Amino acid sequence: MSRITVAPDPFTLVPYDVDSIKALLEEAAALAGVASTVDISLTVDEELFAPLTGHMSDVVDGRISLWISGGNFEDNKRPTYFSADQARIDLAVMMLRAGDRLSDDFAAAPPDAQLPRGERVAWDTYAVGRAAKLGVDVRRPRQLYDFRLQHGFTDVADAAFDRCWESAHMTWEGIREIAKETGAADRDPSKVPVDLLRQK
Amino acid sequence: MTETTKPRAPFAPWDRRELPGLFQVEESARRVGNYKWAEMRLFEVLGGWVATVPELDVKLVLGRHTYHHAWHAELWHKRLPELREMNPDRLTLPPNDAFVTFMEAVREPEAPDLTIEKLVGVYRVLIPRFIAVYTYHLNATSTITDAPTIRSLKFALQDEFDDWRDGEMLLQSLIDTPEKVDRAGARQAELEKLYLASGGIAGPGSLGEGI
Amino acid sequence: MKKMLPESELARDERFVRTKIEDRIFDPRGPKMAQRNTGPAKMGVDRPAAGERSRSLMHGIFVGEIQALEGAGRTCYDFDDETAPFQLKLDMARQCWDETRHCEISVKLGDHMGTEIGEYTESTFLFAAACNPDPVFRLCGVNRALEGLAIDVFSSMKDFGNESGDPVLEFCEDWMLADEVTHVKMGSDWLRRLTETDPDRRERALEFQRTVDAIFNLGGFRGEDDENPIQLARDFRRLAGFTEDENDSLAALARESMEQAREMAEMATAALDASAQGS
Repeated sequence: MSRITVAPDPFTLVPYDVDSIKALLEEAAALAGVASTVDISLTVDEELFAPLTGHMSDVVDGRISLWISGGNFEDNKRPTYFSADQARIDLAVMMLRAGDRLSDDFAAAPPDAQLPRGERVAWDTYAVGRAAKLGVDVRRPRQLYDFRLQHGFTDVADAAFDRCWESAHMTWEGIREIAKETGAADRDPSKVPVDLLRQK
Repeated sequence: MTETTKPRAPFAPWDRRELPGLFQVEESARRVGNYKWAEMRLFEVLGGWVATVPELDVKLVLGRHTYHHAWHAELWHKRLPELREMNPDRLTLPPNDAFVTFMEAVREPEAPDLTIEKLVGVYRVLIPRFIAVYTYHLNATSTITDAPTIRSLKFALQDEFDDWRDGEMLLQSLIDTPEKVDRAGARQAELEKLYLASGGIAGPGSLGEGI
Repeated sequence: MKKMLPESELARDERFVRTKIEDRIFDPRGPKMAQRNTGPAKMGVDRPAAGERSRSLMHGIFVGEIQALEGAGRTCYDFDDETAPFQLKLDMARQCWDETRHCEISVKLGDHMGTEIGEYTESTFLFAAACNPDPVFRLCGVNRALEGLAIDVFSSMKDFGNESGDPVLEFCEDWMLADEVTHVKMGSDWLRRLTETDPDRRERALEFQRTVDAIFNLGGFRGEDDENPIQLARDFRRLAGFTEDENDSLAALARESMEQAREMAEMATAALDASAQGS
């Protein structure tokens, strides 16, 4: 059995429940087809609130290491309260990407902290599209807008989005091709570190 | 005689407008003053209701219609001084106290669960009466001497028809149970009786009765 | 129907959830967040959570437009012809129409961005500013302060649309900006006309305006630095009739609010740390 750890334990700033989060994480891991023998650690930054959302999925020495803003789990209609529905979506996406990292297809992908924004959102789209097919209640227009912000508001970008969304199998090279095709790869590097929210 | 100097009738053969109309200047002014008063009371309550209705589409329609009826009030306000220096403030009047009672009843509903009552008052009682009284005025007044009023009536009528349709469609979508049918019917009957007692937007003779 | 509808009676369907400004002020995460570097608050595609920030702001604009519509509508109804002249009510009715369009535009923009109606909470203190029993105060609070804020917000969103290459957002914000400039001018014009012989009333109304301005500068929401999500749109404000003095004063107020927020956060953090050590 994998060992799932969630930090902080307990939460001190918001009334999130560690056991509930662990249960949702197990559910997401099973949905993503991650082997039950893989250790998973999740760090929730409980200081962050909406709209400062974000998450990262990495694999270090065969162990899945996840980070998420507390704002991702926050019920938008009830500040500081936990939303299982929102958590379910984000955890599914995180675990699908973590599962990708465990595979050879994404062996060459840099850690999330070094992923350019265009590649990151394309990969997210690939994950969110799969989550949709697995019955997770995601919102396509939301993901499309996030994709367009990094890839442009063009027909080329929209066609690339459709491919990422519909694809059942992509590789890291495929993600990079998408970014080249839309021009996202040619954008100036971000002045703001992509993992700024994770830095304390 | 050259072609350009050949006399032509001042009214083209297809222009059949005649001088006489049913209204003297004073009568036209009196009616216009009544219209302005009623349109003012209407736009005020439409604006006031926006915050009281929970239905988002109704809020937006009321917001748009508030302006339509305000603009009609402004058209009438501007027409009044043109009608031989009639004082707009002195002429901006309801036709009688019974019409004031009617308008107060139209404007009375406030609670968020009374959207049907609010809309029935306006779109099944008042606005159809505006359409009727404006149409009567349009048909009755002199097409030559009262042309500016006719022009304003046509602009206003276009809005009244469009607004009536918007409101009626909202009502048809909101009235989805027999109980709501009864509510709408009861409200309409209550207000129509009050309207009847007033004689109309321009008082007795609003539609030429008795002429 | 009564005159003067209180904020608590604003009608909403079940999608909308109301929060109070105190909920944010007393959020225990606030002091911690104030000490963190979360990057420039000014919106940009290369900033953290760009999509979520813009969605959240767009929804805030949407509920603000509903309240602006409701406020203008109430001003049509709440006053007799002595207190609010006919021409003023005509201007308010025109504003109803404009705000209706802004609601419609905001709904469509929300769709464009992937937001759902009621997805975020609503604060109703914008309508609260429109509840003042004096129409001159309402004009200052709404048409000068809040529509002035709208100019800043739409200008910031327009810049974001331009930077992100979003033609829809830029197009829409530009149209809405044009209307807001008119609304501010209407407010300024009526303030002058209705207080021509009452300078005391004018000064009190302007004080009310400053109070409303200060609320929206809270915590550095608006200013001229990268730390402020909403940028003071000096050029558009000038078009709307705000003087340079007024703009400078607002910028100074914004910097002051930012500093106060920082001090409060430091004090709160120190208090939290002391409490943790004590226990």
